[in-house]
Amino acid sequence: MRQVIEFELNGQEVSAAVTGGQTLLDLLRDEFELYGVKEGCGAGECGACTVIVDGLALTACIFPAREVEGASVTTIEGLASAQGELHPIQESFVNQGAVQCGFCTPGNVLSAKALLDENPSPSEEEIRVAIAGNLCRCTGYTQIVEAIQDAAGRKS
Amino acid sequence: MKHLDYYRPQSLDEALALKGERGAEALFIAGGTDVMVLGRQKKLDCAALISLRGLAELTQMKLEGDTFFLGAGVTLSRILNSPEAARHLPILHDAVQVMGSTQMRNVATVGGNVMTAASSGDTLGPLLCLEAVCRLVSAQGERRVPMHEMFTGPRVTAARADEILLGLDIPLPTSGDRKSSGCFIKLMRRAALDLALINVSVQLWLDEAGETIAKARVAAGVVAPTPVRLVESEEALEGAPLAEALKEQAADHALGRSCRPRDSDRCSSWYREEMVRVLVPRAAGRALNRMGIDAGQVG
Ligand SMILES: Cc1cc2nc3c(=O)[nH]c(=O)nc-3n(C[C@H](O)[C@H](O)[C@H](O)COP(=O)(O)OP(=O)(O)OC[C@H]3O[C@@H](n4cnc5c(N)ncnc54)[C@H](O)[C@@H]3O)c2cc1C
Ligand code: FES
Ligand code: FES
Repeated sequence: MRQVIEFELNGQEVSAAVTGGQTLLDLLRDEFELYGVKEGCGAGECGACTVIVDGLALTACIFPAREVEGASVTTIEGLASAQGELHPIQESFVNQGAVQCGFCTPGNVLSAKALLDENPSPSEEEIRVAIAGNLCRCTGYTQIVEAIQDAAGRKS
Repeated sequence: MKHLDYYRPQSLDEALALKGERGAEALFIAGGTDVMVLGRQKKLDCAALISLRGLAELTQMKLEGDTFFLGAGVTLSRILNSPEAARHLPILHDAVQVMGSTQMRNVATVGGNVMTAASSGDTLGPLLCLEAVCRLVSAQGERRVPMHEMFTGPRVTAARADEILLGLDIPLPTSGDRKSSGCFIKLMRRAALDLALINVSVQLWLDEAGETIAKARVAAGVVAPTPVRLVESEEALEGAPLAEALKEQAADHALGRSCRPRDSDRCSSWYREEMVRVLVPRAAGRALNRMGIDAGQVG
């Protein structure tokens, strides 16, 4: 049973026909071709598929697509401006060397965004809690934490 | 899993009616952090999902007199961010803090944790110690099942398939003048996103003079097929002077009849037993600390 749902995706009203068991990850990649939403583990454990739904970071790989009906969804593609200007968090990630292979980056940036939208000047501990669900096999996390601190500093 | 029917009822009555129509082929879904993982592993045996996310009745969290009502649909993040939960129910707050990740806590619900009924379920020990009462609703009305009667087997609860968990009534441990506090400790291999090797929960109530333990509730996870109360340990603590709580001798009682861990690929039964012995007094000590008692001095 396909059902047409409407929701806001990166600031635009969109609609899609979704099936009952479809994940938000599949909807975003297969229907909207948003390949910044990565699939790592497919089990909620690595954070590569992190998106923001109504202000909350969540893992799209285990989130039912049907549940975004009427909600506002942000993926990494929604962060840079239409002119291609990077979001301040993205700039900080680049400047601090927090992007290496880049597979975890969309998820980490979005976890950081959800955190900073809620708490503009987090402590290091709060940053580490916010990204504890985003595995990175390259950086060792230090650069990611520094990037988020840097972004927080610029915003305030 | 793609071909499932998916319903989003907006009230409890609507959800119960849908369940009545679809019967055994429909499964409730709340946050979906258990259901969707099973679905992706092709282990989900159902034709329809009934989402409980739209049910306002399930999302309340409020203190009413001496009872803390925790709706089944309250997410772990909401508990974590609730100053009232932190103040009145530190034992539960401890547990939520070390569950999953931010992304998981933003969607996973306490009701889903109870109904999954895993031996490792981290809110279950705290809810057992707090003597929470499960409020189950069906087309026939509501019934109340105390937590200690809820877990009848591995991942099996006393709830019938047609019942929705509305929420938990938690009697405030600090009601009246009694001093009480608790603590939950989870043993993990890493600091986030890990299931418990074991977990231990202790809630203590002091006598009026604050010199002996009037009542104790001790529970543990992953030491038996279901989360269990460690009744022998409770009995050893009750009536004892505060210092007893911290002694290993008292902890030996924790390895009573209900504590019978198994070997698993995560760790051995021997290690689990040893850690129950270590963590019961440690949790008791921290509970005493939280009541302003220097556990270092008492033991
Ligand atoms: C990455 C990850 C990390 C995790 N970490 C932990 C952890 O640290 N500790 C831990 O204990 N668990 C953990 N879990 C397991 C899971 O997240 C929890 O058990 C969670 O609380 C389940 O809640 P939910 O709302 O997502 O449940 P769902 O998946 O929606 O439902 C679980 C079960 O409960 C039933 N159900 C849900 N709500 C109701 C209701 N109100 N009435 C009747 N039936 C209901 C459903 O039918 C289903 O059978 C983790 C899971 C993932 C994916
Ligand atoms: S792909 Fe979703 S958490 Fe790993
Ligand atoms: S940059 Fe490679 S996984 Fe994080």
